[in-house]
Amino acid sequence: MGAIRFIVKRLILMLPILLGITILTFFISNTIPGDPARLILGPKATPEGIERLREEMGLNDPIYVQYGKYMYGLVQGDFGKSTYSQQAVSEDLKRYFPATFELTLFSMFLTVLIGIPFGIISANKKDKIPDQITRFMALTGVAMPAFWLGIILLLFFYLKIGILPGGGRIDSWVSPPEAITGMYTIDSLLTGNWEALKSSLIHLILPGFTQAAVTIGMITRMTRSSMLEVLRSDYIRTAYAKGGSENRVLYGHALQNGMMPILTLMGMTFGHALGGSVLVESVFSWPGLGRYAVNAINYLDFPAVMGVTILIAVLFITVNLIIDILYHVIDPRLKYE
Amino acid sequence: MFRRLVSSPLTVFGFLVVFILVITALFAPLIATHSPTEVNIVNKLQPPSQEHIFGTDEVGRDIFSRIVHGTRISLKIGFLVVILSFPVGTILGAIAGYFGGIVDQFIMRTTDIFLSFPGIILAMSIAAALGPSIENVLLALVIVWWPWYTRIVRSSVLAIKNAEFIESARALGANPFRILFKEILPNSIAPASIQASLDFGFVILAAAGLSFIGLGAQPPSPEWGAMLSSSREILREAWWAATFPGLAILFTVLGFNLLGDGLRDILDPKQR
Amino acid sequence: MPKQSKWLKIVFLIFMSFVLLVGCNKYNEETTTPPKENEQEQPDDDAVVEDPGAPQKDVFNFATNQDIPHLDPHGTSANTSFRVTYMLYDRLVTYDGTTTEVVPQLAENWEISEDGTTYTFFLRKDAKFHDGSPVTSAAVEYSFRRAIDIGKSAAGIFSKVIDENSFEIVDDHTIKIKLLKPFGPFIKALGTVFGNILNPNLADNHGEDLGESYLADKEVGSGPYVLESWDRGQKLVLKANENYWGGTPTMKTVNINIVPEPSTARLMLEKGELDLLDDTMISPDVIKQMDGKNGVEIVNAPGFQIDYFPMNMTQKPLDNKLVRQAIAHAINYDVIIDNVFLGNGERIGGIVPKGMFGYNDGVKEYDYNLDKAKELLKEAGQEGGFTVEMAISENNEVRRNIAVMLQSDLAKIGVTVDIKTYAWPTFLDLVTSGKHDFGLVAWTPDYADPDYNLWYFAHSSSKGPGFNLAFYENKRIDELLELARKSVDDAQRDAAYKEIQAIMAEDVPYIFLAQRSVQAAKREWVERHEINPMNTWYVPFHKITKK
Repeated sequence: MGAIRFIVKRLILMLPILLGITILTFFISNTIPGDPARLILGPKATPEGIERLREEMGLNDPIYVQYGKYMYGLVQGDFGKSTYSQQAVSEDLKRYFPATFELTLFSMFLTVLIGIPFGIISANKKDKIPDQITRFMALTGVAMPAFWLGIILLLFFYLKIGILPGGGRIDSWVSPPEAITGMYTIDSLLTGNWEALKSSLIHLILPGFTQAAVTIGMITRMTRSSMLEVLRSDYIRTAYAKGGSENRVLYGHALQNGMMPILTLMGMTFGHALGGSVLVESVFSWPGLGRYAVNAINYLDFPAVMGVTILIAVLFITVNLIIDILYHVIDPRLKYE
Repeated sequence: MFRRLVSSPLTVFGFLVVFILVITALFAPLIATHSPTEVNIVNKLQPPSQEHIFGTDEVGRDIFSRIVHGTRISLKIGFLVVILSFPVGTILGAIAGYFGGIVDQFIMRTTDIFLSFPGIILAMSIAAALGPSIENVLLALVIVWWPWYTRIVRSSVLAIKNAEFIESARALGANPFRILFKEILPNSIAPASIQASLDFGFVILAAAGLSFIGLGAQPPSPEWGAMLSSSREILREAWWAATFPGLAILFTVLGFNLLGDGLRDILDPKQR
Repeated sequence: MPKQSKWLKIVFLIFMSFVLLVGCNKYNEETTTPPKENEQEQPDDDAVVEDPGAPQKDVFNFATNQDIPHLDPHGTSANTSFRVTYMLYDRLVTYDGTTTEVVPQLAENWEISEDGTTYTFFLRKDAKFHDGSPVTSAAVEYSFRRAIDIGKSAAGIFSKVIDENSFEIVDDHTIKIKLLKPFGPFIKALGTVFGNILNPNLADNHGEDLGESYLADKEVGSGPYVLESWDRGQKLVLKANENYWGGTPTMKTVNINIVPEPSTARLMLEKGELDLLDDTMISPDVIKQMDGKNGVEIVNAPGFQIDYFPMNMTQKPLDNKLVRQAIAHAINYDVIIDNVFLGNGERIGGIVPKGMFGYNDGVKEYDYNLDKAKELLKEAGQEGGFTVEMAISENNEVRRNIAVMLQSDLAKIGVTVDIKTYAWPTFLDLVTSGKHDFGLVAWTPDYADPDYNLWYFAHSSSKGPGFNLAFYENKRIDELLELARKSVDDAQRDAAYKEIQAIMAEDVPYIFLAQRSVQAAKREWVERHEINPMNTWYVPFHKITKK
């Protein structure tokens, strides 16, 4: 029962946070000088036309009235219509979010696959050569400006040796799978479309690695320090004394006990990654939320700015809630508070 | 302590990088061979030579001198963002952790708002509303950064607030703020300060990213991110124009990270 | 050393080899044999080995770095949308090839009355909309009325000269349009994207906004291409209109890929994955570097684009003519043209480009003369120098380099220039509300008539939002502009426009840096690609063929 109460309480606490975020976003984005109506109409528009559109868009209302109107729509589930694309913002988000989600899942997969073993090796061999090497590699990934790394990878894998594609989500001659989740790999799996699966998987590799470069470094470091702490504890010595093999002890007992801080960090980075990275998305022509958000600000598309901010915030909070619940799955002794 | 430091080559490396950066920043005009902003377009995109050891950029400026002067900008941003967001975050975190209850709820929900707010939207809005400049990038970064310290400090305060020496101070009837700032904060600040030393690097990286998309440093300022951005299209032909600023960022961030990790290994008593 | 984490290494290796295998397999296959769709085609006669993914002869790949917002020809002012709607729709008249004069399209021919107010169009009878219904006079009336009613970009051009009573349908294929007042450039305006003719059955889907939301991702045109599919933010696909009256285009499929990053786009071109890139997304430096390598070819064509910056005459000390003249003398134009534009441009003294009707070739061009500039500043009492802000929009390499050059040039006469990069909406707001000093911009007319350029730049009613960004006002110029607009006598108009350019050259509200030529980078196999000097966004995909 504790678990359910905990979740309900957290969900209720989400409301004031979301309210705060809507207020912050609405007012900050409205301080940007510029007239959305003018932007839509372009340089050749007549002043009367602009005035009429301003009236139509409600831009002549005081800002708090505009906010009230927006919130009134929002509580009814209406995100409004993008002034840039003339589409419902919810439709736009449905289109752009799966791309980001797919890329983030893939890069987190790589992060776990590489970052955690790196961290364990590093902790187990503290201050020895393997530690130095893994740490140096991991930190170089963190320190590389993502954009630069992306272009260098493209130059090498796409232009020079030509084994990987130059961007986009799928080859132009392969038609995307039928949309179920919007994630090409999952959809092609579900529909058994192997050609699309292959094509969308290889398109994930470069952007996935570029995005993972940063998180791998962070996870490696966190795993290392968390494991160092655990490895010194008595029960690890006991486990070794009982004749447990090194791998069993390391990847079994120790990792399980050192998992919490790693999970927390993963939650945070995952939550952040879901917002999409403009730089990675730009280099690899990936149609994700990061680019959508930047575009929305660049065209003063307020409904879109609001929509994307709320979506990102909800995702971030949800991911962290899930992480908190996972704590208790890993360590049932913890009490829900 | 010194022996521990030199026992790890990576830490030594990090220390050396940071040392060189600081020296470079302090004596930039002496080290630079040319003016960082002097345009000589007839001489554009020259490969590295004796005259221009890192080559010249798309309007013929000396890249080496620009990188040397850029050190000042990057270090300044890293330093100011950390120095401004650290106290704010720390104090709020300590208060939240120590007093708990409604104060805690209020502070922590506020940090949640800032943490879950997409940073790029915030930075772009600030740049657009206040005008593009390196100072406004700094402001945006501070706004994004402080909640992280709040979180770290709060959890360390929670961990020690019921420790014996605190209980005894409380029993003696000491003023709660006195206990907080005299007893609790000094004993719970270590993890946050280690984080701060790492953050130097990340702040520099973030600022470079914002300058890269045109929000930060304005021309002709020799900011590394902006330099990387302006030469990216011709990376294939004029490799030097993008490679050297890229390496400058890489080594700086790496240096601060290695140094921060080294400091943690040394200072954190739990890890002895 | 203990055998630590052996299983993890194995898992890792398996994963890596799987990933790489998928990659190698796929791409080697694709790079050595042409993609499947090509198998039905006749085999490649000249299978070039080093050219990966040998070109599909009926598929054209193009890229743009700016997203396409929506496709309502009357509702959008986005250039990237124009490029698409030009292909989806036909107009009464159009700009064909490299000419800047209109040629017949849906209208086979037309008559203009003596007084210049009544236009009679005779439509071709074989033109059909994509749903098979014929293009009739009713469609023409419907389209223009909708353009005005919707009140957006297109209305800016037409609402001044026509209204709902302007149309008289003579028969199914003859329509008279009566102007409210004579407007010399009317026929030229009809060739722009705003003159696109829509299928009147759109009325069934009007909804609350005259069908604007409906048309956002659909089309109701009669053009050489139909909209096949559109993955927002990724790719828009055009399919050839098999029933096009002008003949089916050779390129059966046109892929317009959204590639936001120019450095990625150039790699795709060099790799042969793209067929064409234009200078709206790549800089002269990159174009020069690609020339002649890896099967890429550069095309140069004359252009009507003028790079310039306004000097806000409401700001001190820019209100002083001597100061503006001094600035004009302090800029090293030739160095900018040679080294930033890499020679792809020439000096220009006014806003009417060389090659356009009304161009005054005798107009004064300021030479680079620092002594003269300093002298003028002294005369103006500004020998101590001053500081101005140069606003630039977006993160555009060429603009930024020009700004840096200007900054360094003006520093030599004691004028300090602060460069500020703004996002487009902020930039637009800044310069149209007159809070700027300088703002670096480029201008290409929509149709080749000096009225278009000069009215925007010099008429006092255009100040600010009308794009008179210098906030320039000159009674004589206003008179001349109004006179020329009413006139149907070309000699009289020509004289008026020439006089305006001469006055402006003396007053220097704007600094004109150069008239740029248009460049594009294409694969060698692309043929019959034409560049219109004026219409950068009109890419005639329907005429292109591949070797």
